[in-house]
Amino acid sequence: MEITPATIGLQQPRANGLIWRAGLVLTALIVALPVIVIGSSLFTPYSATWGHILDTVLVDYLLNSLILMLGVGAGTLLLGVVTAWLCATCDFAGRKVLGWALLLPMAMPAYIIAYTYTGLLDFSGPVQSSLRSWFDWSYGDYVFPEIRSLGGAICMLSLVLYPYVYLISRVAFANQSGAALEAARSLGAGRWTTFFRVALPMARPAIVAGLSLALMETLADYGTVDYFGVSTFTTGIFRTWYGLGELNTAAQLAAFLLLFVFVLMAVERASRRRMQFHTTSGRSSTKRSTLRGANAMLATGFCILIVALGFLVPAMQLLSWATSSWRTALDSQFLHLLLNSFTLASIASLVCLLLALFLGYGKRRYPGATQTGSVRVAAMGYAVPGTVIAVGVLIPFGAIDNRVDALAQTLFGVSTGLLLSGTVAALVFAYVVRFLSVSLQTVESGLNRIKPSLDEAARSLGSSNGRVLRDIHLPLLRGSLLTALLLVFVDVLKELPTTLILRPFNFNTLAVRTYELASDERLADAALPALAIVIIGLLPVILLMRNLDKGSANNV
Amino acid sequence: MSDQLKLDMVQVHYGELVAVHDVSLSLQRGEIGCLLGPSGCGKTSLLRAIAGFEPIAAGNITVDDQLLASETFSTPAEYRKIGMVFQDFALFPHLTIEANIAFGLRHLTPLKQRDRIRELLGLVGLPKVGGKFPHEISGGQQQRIALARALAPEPQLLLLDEPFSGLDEELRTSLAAEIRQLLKAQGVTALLVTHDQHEAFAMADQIALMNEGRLIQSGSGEILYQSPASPFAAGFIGEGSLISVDPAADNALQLLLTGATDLPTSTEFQVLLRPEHLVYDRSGIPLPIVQRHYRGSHYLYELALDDGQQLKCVVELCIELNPGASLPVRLTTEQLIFFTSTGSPSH
Repeated sequence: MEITPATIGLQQPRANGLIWRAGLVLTALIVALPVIVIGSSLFTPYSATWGHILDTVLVDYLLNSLILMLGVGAGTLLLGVVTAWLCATCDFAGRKVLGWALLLPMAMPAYIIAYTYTGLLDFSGPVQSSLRSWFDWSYGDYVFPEIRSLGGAICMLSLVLYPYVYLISRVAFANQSGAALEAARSLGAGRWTTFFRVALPMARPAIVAGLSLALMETLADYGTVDYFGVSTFTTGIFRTWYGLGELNTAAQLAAFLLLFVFVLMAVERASRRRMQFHTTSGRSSTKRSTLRGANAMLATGFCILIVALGFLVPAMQLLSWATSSWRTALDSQFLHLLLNSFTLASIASLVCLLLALFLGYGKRRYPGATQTGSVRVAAMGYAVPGTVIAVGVLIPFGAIDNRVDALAQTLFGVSTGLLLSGTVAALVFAYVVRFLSVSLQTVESGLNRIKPSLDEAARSLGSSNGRVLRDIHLPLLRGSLLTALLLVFVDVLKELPTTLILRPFNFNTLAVRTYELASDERLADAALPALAIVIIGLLPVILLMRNLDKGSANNV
Repeated sequence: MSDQLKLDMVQVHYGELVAVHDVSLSLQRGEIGCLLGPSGCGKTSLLRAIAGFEPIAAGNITVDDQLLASETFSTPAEYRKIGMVFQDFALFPHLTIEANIAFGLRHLTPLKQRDRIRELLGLVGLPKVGGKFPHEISGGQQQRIALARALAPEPQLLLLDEPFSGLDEELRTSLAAEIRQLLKAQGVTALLVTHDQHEAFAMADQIALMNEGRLIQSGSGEILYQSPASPFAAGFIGEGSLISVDPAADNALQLLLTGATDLPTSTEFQVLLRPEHLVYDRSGIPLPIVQRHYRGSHYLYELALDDGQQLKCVVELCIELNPGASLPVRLTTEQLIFFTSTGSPSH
């Protein structure tokens, strides 16, 4: 037998898989570090302040957070389910345009819509001024609801968070087997009975999954409740750290908030599992029924109203403020803000993408329970509020800085100061913890679409692993990779509390500047950075609209 | 040595699980072989081991007198010069049909690539689809393109993994015959994996029947049907019933079998009775009817024996009897296949 290059290729050493597995576990642990730190703070000594908090404000935090969740839950359900049902199963004037326009409020961060409506609705705002001039009222003649309240916060959050419910339940309604609904009709159930007894229960897992995402965002919100002066867990954590300087107590508060989050995560995961059983093969999808007369006008009117309140009105207001203030606001400082925000967002989205590729390929090439578990742990951050992550980053980074400093002082007699805390590195790390799941999800779904048989086909046609990556994987993944970059980029740009807590001294971003100006009641000046955030926030929404159309092309 | 493919005591393991156990096989140049067996019998694992996607734990794989894999080494798939048609076709979705076929032709100049592509598209009868993308052509066309792509680099061996399972029944049989003709005309040595015996019969010169990781029997389709080597082969190939017989008993079955020669007289055994082994005869042994199935050109009767075992018998349409009545039958042959408890087959 002759020895040729073909006969000397040795089997791949098994150690390769071990390295990948160790890498995956290590990555997951590092990403989970802030959550672990926060969780373990429950077992550290409780300071005197804790007793004070327990006696005075903790009940407030608890009650306000709960009422907020209940209110936003009810609001997003009402707005999300009704619009989803209308757009998925009925036909009325403007349905197609409204179908995607209903996603627009996703581009509007809650804290920005809160500033805008405050400017619109407070005493000197255009609404009350017009009312006074039309009816010739003056101060005290009339009762106008106060926007800066718990109720106001519920309205603001519901208006921008309902798309989570809308998006996922619209797909569920559209994919419901038309046969099941027709069976109900043939068994004598009327239109409404069919909706409440068949369609709604069948879509319930999807609705609950969307709802838990909306509630996670509610718990994570800091900007709105802070601006409206509502004391919740997030504002409490902030106050305890900034006002009282008690990092450990802040961490313990954060741990309580984390308990809520874990409940929501469990609910979301369970309902996603059940969704698999409730979605039937979309072979016979629901037939749209055409609405007529008053019903059709009501449907169109309702959808227009929601799009207007959730996006058009605040966007117009921002635009009008920005046109009046841009001459002063558009200065070198603004360009600096843009540069800071873009740099941060670019670095974070790149790091997220690289990690997601590492995790995704590790899981694909060496499947196993350890790998799946690691990827799941690494993807946990999407549910954890930015405030919690920020505190969870501050504590270990501070500890590392102190150790290094002490070591350097004893060894070399020099102080290294703060190496990690208060640097861009700490901030980027926190972003990665929070948003890795976003890129991971996109990369994984992209990888899942590349069937292993494609790799094998390429190899049986003589291409090396390198060529498989370059000629098969890269072109097929390109879209997913760009999407992953974009989604994280925009999320980082919008993220407020993490940036507020961890940013280096005097380092401003668009979100932070918007927050600062609005807090100083310079609403018109805040409009330009706010508008920039909203416009960039539209990019992923457009992406979502395109996917929605592709996904339900057969029933649009 | 004219064996194009030679497997020698090959084993494939997945951790503790032995998926393929000591399989030896050979295929001559230009022959079409088939690995046939129920799902989970190890046939796909063996095919993937030949392609180079799974390492083997023992034995040798030799193609064209060149050792490709053994216990200690494995030639990477890309150096094996073995073409493969995948169950899901695995056409590259982002490449046109032409680019798909050209994927394995990088060693040729662009001009020669174009000639080869044109030649292959003509060969599979789809000269006009070159510029399209895989999702723009039908399932049957995708199948042919997958074949053309695998044949393009002129592999020493072509593997086909359940090549017709993704297609509907009608297309399956016509395509199987067509592809066999094509492979034969090109002189391609091919090995096919399937669980469908009709596909195996339609495509293959040599069939290797596998079960639970082991090779049960290999040979032509006729041999497997007419002389099954084990109760499993008898049950898997063709339609028929394995009937347990106690020579000491005195019942209708004994009466029915009196015409057969060479059956054991002292030990219990199993006898293979295919529907064509029984025929309606007014003076035959009456057996109670359990079910009557209408098969278009004839009826298939299911008949019961005293102890509840069932037989099948094909009868002309003019004999129309209802369940509960009896159908008189006799044997059509004296040569029956039987297996004693030791499992050794005999005539």
